[in-house]
Amino acid sequence: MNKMIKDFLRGLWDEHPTFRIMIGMCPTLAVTTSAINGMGMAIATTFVLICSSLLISMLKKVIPGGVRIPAYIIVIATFVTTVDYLMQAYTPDLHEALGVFIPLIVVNCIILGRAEAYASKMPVIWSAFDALGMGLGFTWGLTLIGSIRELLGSGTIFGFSVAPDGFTPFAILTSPPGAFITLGVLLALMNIISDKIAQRTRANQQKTAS
Amino acid sequence: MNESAKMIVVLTIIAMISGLLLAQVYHLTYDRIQLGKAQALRGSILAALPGAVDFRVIEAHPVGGLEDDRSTLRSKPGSDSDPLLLFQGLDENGDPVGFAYVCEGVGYGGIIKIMVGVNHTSELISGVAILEHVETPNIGSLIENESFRNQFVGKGTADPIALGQDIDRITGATVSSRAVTEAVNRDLSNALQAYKEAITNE
Repeated sequence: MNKMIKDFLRGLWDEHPTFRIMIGMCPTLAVTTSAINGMGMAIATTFVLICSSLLISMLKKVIPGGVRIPAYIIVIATFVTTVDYLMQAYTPDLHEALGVFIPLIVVNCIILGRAEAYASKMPVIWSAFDALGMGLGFTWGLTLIGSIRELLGSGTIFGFSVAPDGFTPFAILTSPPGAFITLGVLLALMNIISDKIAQRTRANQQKTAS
Repeated sequence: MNESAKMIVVLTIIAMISGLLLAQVYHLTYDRIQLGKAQALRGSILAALPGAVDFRVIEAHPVGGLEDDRSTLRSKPGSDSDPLLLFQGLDENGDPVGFAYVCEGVGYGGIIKIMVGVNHTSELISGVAILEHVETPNIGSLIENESFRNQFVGKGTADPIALGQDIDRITGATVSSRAVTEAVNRDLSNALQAYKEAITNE
C-alpha cells in the first residue's frame, strides 16, 4: 500500500513529467499562453492518461509483444478523439484555443511512456494511481507556467484582471520565447528547492548516524 | 494459434472496437457541436449587422462570376457550381437591414476569417467580426478588439480602404492589420454586386 502511494507521489515531484523527466514539452511550451489554456490541456491529457493506462493494464496479457505499440496507440487515439469531440461540444472556446494540440495528445510521450514503462507491467489499480499522479503533476506544472505567463504577459489570471493600473505587460512572455524563459526559471527554482531538501535529509542522516 | 496470426487478430479486434466506440461518441456529440457552431455563426452575423434580430441565408450565383480572381468569397474561384453564401440580416418586422459575407485574409500565423456586414440602404460597412484567427496572442490577436474593428464602420466601395490612413495599424501587428484590411477591401464590391443581383432575381 505504501509503495502504491509512493508511486503516486512520484509524479508530483521526484519524477515530475515536465520539470524532472522533461517529457511532453510540445504542449508545455505551446499552449501555456494563459492559465486556463494550460490547465485545460493538462486536464485533457490527464483524462486520456488515466483511461489509457487503465485499459492497457487490463489488456496487458491479451496484447502480443510484437504489436503492443500499435495497440497502445489505437487505445490512446480512441480516448484522444473522444476528448476532442467532447471539448468541441461542451467547451468550444477552449477547444478553439488549444487547436491542433488536442489531437497531438496522441503522440504525447507522457502517455505512451507510462503505458510502456508502467501500465503494461503493473496491476490495474496501481496503473491508475501512477497515471493520476503523473497527470496531476502535469496539471500543476502547466497551470503554473500558464499562470505566470498570463500574469506577467497580459496582467490577468484566469481571465480576471489583477494587475495594478499602469502595469505594462511583458508581451514577450505570451509569445513562444516566453515559454522557454518561464520554463527555464522554474527549472532553476526546482533544482534549488530539491538541493535544499537533499542537503537537509543528508544532514539529518549524519546526525542520526553520529 | 501461431504468434503472427494472434497479432493480426488482436490488433484487428482492438481497431474494430475503437472504431465502433468512436462512431458512437461522434453521434452523441454531433448535434451539440453543430448547435455550437450555428450559435457562433449567428452571433457574428448579428454583431456585424446592428439592428438585425434574425437572418436568412441567400445562395447567390453571380452572373459572369466575380471581378476579382483572388476573391475568397467562394472555395473555388470562378466555378459557378458552388453558390456564394450571403447572410441577410432582418429586423423585428422582417425587413432587411443589410447583408453579411465571410472573407479570408492571410495573417501572420495563418488564415483569418472575417465576417463583414453591409448596410442595406447606405451600402456602407456596418460592422466587422473576426470568426477565426491564429495570430500571436496579445499582438496580432488585438484585431479582435472593438477599437480596431470599428474603424471599418461607415467605409464603402467609393474609395479603397487604406491602411495607415483610414485604418490605424495595431502596433507590432502590421501583417495582421493589413490582412484584415485587404480582405475586407478585396471582396466588398464583389459581395455587394452579388447581393444586389440576388435580391433583384428573387
